Amino acid sequence: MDLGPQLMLASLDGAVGAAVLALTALGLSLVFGVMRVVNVAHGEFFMLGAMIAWFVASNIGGHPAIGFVGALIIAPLLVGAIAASADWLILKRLDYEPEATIVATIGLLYILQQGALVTFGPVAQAVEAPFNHRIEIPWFEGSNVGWGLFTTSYKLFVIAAAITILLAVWLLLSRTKMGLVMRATQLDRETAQAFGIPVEKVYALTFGFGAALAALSAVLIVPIQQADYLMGGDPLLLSFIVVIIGGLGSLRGTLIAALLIGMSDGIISVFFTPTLAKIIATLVVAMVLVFRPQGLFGAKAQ
Amino acid sequence: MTLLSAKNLIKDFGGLRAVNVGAFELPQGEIRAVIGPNGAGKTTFVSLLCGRIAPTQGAIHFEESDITRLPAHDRVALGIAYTFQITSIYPNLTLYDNVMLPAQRRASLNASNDAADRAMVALERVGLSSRAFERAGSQAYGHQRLLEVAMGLALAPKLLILDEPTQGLAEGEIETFKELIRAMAKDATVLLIEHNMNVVMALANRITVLNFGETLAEGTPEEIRANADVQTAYLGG
Amino acid sequence: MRVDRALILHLAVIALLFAMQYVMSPYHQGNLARIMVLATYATGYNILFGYTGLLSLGHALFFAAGMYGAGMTMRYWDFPAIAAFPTGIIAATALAFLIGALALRTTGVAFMIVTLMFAQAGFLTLLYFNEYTRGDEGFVLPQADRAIGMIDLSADDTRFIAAWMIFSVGLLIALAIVRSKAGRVLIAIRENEERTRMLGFNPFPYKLGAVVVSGAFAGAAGAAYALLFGSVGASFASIQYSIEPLLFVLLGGAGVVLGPLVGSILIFYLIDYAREITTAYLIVVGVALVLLILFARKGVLGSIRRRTDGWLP
Repeated sequence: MDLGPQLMLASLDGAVGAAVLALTALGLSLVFGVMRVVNVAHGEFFMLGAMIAWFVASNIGGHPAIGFVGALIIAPLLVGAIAASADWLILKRLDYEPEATIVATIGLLYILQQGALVTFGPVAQAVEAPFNHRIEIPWFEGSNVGWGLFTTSYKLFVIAAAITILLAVWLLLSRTKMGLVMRATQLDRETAQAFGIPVEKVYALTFGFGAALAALSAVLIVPIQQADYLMGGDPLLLSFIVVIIGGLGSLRGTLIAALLIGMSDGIISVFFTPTLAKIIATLVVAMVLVFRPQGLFGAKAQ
Repeated sequence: MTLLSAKNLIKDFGGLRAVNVGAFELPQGEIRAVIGPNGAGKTTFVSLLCGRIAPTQGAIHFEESDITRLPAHDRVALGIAYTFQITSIYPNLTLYDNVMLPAQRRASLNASNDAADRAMVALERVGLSSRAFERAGSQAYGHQRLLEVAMGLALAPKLLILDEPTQGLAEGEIETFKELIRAMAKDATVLLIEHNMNVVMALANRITVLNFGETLAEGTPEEIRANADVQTAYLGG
Repeated sequence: MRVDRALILHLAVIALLFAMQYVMSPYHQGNLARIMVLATYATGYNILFGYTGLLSLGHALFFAAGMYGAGMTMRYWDFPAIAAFPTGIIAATALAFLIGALALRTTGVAFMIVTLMFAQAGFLTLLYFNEYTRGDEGFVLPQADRAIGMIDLSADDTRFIAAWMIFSVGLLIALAIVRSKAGRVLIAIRENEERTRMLGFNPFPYKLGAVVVSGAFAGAAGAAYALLFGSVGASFASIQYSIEPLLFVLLGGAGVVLGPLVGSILIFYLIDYAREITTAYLIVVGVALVLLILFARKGVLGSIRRRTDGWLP
């Protein structure tokens, strides 16, 4: 196949990856921004979302779309509830002391991962997409018989859905009372408390919401990728990369970085192996933290 | 002989000029008080001298050598000790271990082995030797302030910068402190930030008054007491 | 003359460990050998985390550097075991120096993430050079090579004694460090870094020293693991092996020299026991971390020390 079409295809796959990554990373970024909590268990919330999606889809039966819609509703709610209660039971008691909180979320990572192993088993599970039409990309149609350049309607749907959800989150944060309360808490916890904002509840809600975003993106991706209890590592690493490069706590930076890294991850993997791409990305992240802790797009140091 | 001097010392925080001192000279052996209304830049000024923060502009000399770019820990090695305004000790360690650190630092500087003696002497001078093996964090506030000074003493500095040492102390404790500072001044030059005018007038040889980061006046306690500008600044004229 | 209670206690523990080989079944003897190697790793980590207050999430990198430093030189350059072991330590120490110098520009949470990222990059690098490192699967060092002169390090009894020697030397070095003048400065940095700086100590070389020493311990443990148990693999560079020393230290008691040994023994047998019940035995790690951080920050020996007048170093 020529490089042109291959790049085209890679950027389409990159866009799907970027869209899902943006959602997942947004959850991590929100939690860090509002609560100053580095959530190492974020990838496990993603994994839980995927496993629950499989569980729901395989138990509802009927047309795959019914199971998918069910998963789309149940997985984020359930994962959000689990996260909020973890916040209430563990993180709140630590008074969100940064280093202790990280250690606790590492513990949470193992608990969720091993809990999923017990609950759902070790086997990788597939979820059927609600629809999956083959769409030929017109410019190259028929140019390579058998290798025809195509995408699927479901992939396009994932991109559209992610954009819709991102817009909704943006509206939620900028236009609703809940968003206002979250932003007020982010700016100054003590003052927010003095003004009668129930900071503890806002924190639990934020932590749950961040986890729900990870679960939601997992539901979207799981018809393309399989679900298994060890799948949390990659989304965690990529979200970390995105959030740090984008500037800790900066939502706009997070989105730009997700787009950049998601897209380039797709494109780079045309030229390099994914492992090499990840090595470069992790080193870049470490160097960014060492030499430019405000991130590449963030304006303020944390 | 001038022990420490600063020229055109400027510190900006964002757009705010916190310190702008044209000339400052501190002769050896003096007790110098730095006074001024709240927010006059006193702590920022002495932080520049001891190296906790870097100046935006200007030069600082100590015993003839330029220390403007010298990091704080190296200034300590030259003989500049700083005690914190907000008590800064090691609460989980014993009083002995608290003073042992500066004593060890001092001993390493003259390659001697007398750190343990030095530590006990410092505790004795502030009257805490009987509590040497108690936890610092469990001591009364006044004792913690004394410990803070003992840590400075154990460094045997040439210049001891005391940032509001009597803040929050009771009347009787302040008297003890005055005696202590007088005794320390026999071996070291003392630069004292102080709010308590009674302490300042009793101890200081000379007084520097800062207002809005600039030197408003400098002179003997009598001169400062009589200075109209100083009265205006303090009364908020 | 004053009796050095602390030194006597540590020597007694070392003697007790040595005696264990005569009363334990071969199975438990093998376990204890493994525990002593891992405890050496955690004893070094304790100097960094327990005494200096720096929480690294990337020490598996140094463990793996020691392991591969020894394993690769034996496999590809036919190094004898006696030369491969110090090579592993040197590799880990050099890497710790480099990464410490970079990571120590940050503090707190950023330090944790930077060390995590460097270790992750190292782990991925081992996977990338799969051809030489054999990746996650790893490779086995042939039994014939795992010997020093006539001494076969893979035999049960010699392996136990080798592990015991490495741990004993490590423990005594750690004891000497934390009771030295430099050790006092490390503790001071943990308790109040700014104060320590204003007492004339530049924190950076001390912190870097703590990273390097803990890296050397990790390297020694990694190299010993390769020589004594024969396995070399990228999975030893994974995040799990960075979490392990943290867990051992937290459970046994951060900032107590014997803490990591106690923590290693408890966790090892806890996991061993859990493994019999469930495939999800790693849940022990998660639950232990959460419970410790919530309810028992001082760990086992830290809590005991509070009741013994604090003489335990």
